[in-house]
Amino acid sequence: MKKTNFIIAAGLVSLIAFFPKPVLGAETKANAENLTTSVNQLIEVKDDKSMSDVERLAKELEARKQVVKDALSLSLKEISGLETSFKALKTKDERVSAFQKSSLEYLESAKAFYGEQAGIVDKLASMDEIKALAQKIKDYRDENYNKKIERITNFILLNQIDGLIATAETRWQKIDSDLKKLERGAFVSPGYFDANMQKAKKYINDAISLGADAKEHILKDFETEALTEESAPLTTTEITTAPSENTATAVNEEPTPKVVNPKELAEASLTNLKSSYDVFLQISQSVKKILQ
Amino acid sequence: MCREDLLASASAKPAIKIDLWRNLGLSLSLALTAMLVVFMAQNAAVSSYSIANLEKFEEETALSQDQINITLAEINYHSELASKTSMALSEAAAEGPSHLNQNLLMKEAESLKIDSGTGDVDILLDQVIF
Repeated sequence: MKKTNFIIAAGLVSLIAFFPKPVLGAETKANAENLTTSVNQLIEVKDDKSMSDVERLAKELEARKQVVKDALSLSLKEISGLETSFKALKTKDERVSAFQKSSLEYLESAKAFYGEQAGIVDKLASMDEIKALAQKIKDYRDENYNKKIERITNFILLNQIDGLIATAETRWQKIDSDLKKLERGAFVSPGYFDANMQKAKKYINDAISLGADAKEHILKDFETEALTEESAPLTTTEITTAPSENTATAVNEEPTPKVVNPKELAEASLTNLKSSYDVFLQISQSVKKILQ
Repeated sequence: MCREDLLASASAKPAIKIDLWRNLGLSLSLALTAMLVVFMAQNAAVSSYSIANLEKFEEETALSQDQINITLAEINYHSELASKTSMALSEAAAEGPSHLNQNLLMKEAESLKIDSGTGDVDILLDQVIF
């Protein structure tokens, strides 16, 4: 009995320990809330008619500075979270290594850019200067940053999804083994759950294919961009390729819309994985009824 | 040994044979009973093992489903942060009254959507963060 309790406790501890950590954690969330607050304050100051123009302009300048500072702080926190997650990624794949190295360099350069801007915010004395700085940071983000960060975030999340897929595969094997035991004990007719098990297996396989497609899109996008940058700097590329035909799976037996980017592929992969667990639960409930 | 003794021992042989058959029958019935007991015990063990496993399985499945939901929410979280930052910087760079700011109006219009999933993202992340 004690041994059983120990095994269960150890299992739960390991589950908690290996629970995927969010890519963007609590601090990012707090920073995002700060930014919302400072934007609201700026809007209030802009609309406040109770102050004199001079007083309002002084407060508006400070409020604008605060928005820029909070935006920079949020961006730096976002980079820090991504750096930590990306550095933890262990790979022997050369393409992934190249992407990892280049992305970490980019994160470093973005960190330097934001750090530099953060250093000058408080030195700005005029409204035009702070507006220009805000616009400069926005342009920087729109030009390349948002796209690259989304790509990095998606890649990290896809690696988390790989872990979730591995867990689902192990779960499938354990259920299969348990069902075989029940068949041997004559609790269940041989092959009674075969259709469900095959259905779950298909969901898992589709999740694997969709995840692999998503990673391939990210890596191809990165490689195309690297080549384009070598020949013509600052030219961006867009992914418009559809995934391979064997991947799209309807969760509710409906035709899946064509997915065209890594984010949608990752979402579809997770949706398939969720469906596999739905099937597992159906099997579990049926077995429970049989055994009771 | 005299002749009578030899005859007596010869006539005792059938009695030994009957005992052997009885013993064999008894042993067989004992063995069958033991096999039945083992079979029943094994079935009971498989049954109780499976029920215990199922309960643990359902807990683990719920945990796995939470992980999947969190990862699903996280996929969109970056886009939300990016749009929030972009809107904030636009506000800081904007000229004129804020209530005519296009980004702000878009944000307010977005918040009117019934199926906006932003709240869900925060709830799911809270499950992990706090």
